[in-house]
Amino acid sequence: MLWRYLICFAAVLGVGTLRFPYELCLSQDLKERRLIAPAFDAEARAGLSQKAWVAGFGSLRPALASFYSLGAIRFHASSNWRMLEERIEQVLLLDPYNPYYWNDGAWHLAYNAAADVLEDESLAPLERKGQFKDWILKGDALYQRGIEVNPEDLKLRLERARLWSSPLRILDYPKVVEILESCLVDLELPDARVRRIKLDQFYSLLRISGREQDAYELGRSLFDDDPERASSSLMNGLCALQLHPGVEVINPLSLNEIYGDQQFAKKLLRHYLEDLDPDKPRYGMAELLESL
Amino acid sequence: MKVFYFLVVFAALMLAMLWVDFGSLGQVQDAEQSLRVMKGAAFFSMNVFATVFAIAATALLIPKDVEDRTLYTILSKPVTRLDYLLGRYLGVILMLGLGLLLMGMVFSMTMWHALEGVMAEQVAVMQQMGFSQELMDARVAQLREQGMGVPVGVYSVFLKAAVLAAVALCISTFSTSTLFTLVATVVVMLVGLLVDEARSVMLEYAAAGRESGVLSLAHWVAYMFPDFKLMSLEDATIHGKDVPVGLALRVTWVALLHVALSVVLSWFIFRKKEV
Repeated sequence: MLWRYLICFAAVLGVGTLRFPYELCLSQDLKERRLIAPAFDAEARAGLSQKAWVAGFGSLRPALASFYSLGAIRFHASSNWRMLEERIEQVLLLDPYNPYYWNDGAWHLAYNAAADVLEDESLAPLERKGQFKDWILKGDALYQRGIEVNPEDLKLRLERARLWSSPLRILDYPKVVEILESCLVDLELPDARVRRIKLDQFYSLLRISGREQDAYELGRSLFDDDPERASSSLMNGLCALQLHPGVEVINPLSLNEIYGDQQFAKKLLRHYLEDLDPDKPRYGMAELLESL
Repeated sequence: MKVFYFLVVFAALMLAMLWVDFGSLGQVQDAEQSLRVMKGAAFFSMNVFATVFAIAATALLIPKDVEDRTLYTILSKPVTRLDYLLGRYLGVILMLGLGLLLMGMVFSMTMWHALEGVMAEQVAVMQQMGFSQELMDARVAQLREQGMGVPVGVYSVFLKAAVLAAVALCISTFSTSTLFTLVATVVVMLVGLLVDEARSVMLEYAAAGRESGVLSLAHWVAYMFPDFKLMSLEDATIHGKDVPVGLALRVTWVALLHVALSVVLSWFIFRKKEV
């Protein structure tokens, strides 16, 4: 009887050796297409808790990730940001191809944790600012890693752009322009979405000192493309840039061409000047409004 | 028929999932995440059902036939032992397939209902916000992607269960107790989920030129056990990704190879076994 078992053992081993290269190749193909989760690397294996490690294989990974993600709410409620960060990493290891977890994790770090330390009166003011910046950078790093793993996901890129354009965080308009540009270059998007992103790029460029010319050219092309669909921010931005001494305007648009009529122009210009955003160009705008 | 009680539990779970909006537990409402969680729970349940059924039903086959003396009646007729094994195995597979088919249908209907609701909600919000028709169409197409691939996911659960059933059949031909068959098959399944990690360790160590006991263990695991992660195409379905037919066929080929090997070995052990 023993020889029969030995033959079986040899058969399993023999077939295993033969199928190994085929399965390795198939596994790599599936991973390249991001159809199955990647294997844990040495660092990840060490980082995962035993429970997550044992349960986190095969198709249990997405289910376990959602369960773990629900557990993160506990750390959010108790403002235990270090533990939350650890939990986010575990969730991301389990289900890296789900953009939601990257977005959710980055939001926790860059918004919640950052706001919490900024209001923490037990910390010295400089310490608060330092930690505030650290948490924002951690959130941004998560967005960047998420984009690397899910390059086709537009939402992660737009959320990253939103982080750096938030006046309640650290404003960095050049970075926003760069992120939005990457959306246009890397992704195939519908025309309406491309226009929307270009508009956001225009709003950011408008606020960067020294990039007024680029802002004007982009704004002008968006306006010329479809004057009927021009938003009030685009109209005001174009008008402000036409008045800016640093902008070379070859064929300036009249007020009527931009706004349609003087009443509407007055209304929108008033809104523009009432806005307290310090980065918007205002050169000559008050005088223009007075003259109307 | 008690097997199909699980379907009632599954249907109840699916209905319950419709009431919970998992996508809104994080920062903002995320329709895709809600659908992903729903799919994750559904495939998790299908995997549990398929695994338990495949292992338990197959492990009990031969011992029960011996106990009832059905085996002697069958083998006294012009039925070869291979025919007997194949017949029993295919019976389990048929039941398994039927169960998964019904679960897949319940799940597809639930998904369709959830998807229609989400799409109607999103389109209404986008209309209110003045989005263009082009953007709304793109969003609907994006959401529809989440509903695709359910048959492929169910099929991959079936493939894994078919391999497990074949392994259980093979073990039951030489096992002296049902408990041993059950435990051994569960061990094969758990180790099978580690094969990809074992291969990864082998490649890591080979790249670094390292030798150790872990590497030897990884070799044994990779050569001896079926890779169940390779057959977990339902992960792609959960993420709304389309699985190319060519890749699905290659995965099928791997599963068939394991089934064929297990059935042949079962016959090889069982053909001259004294019963």
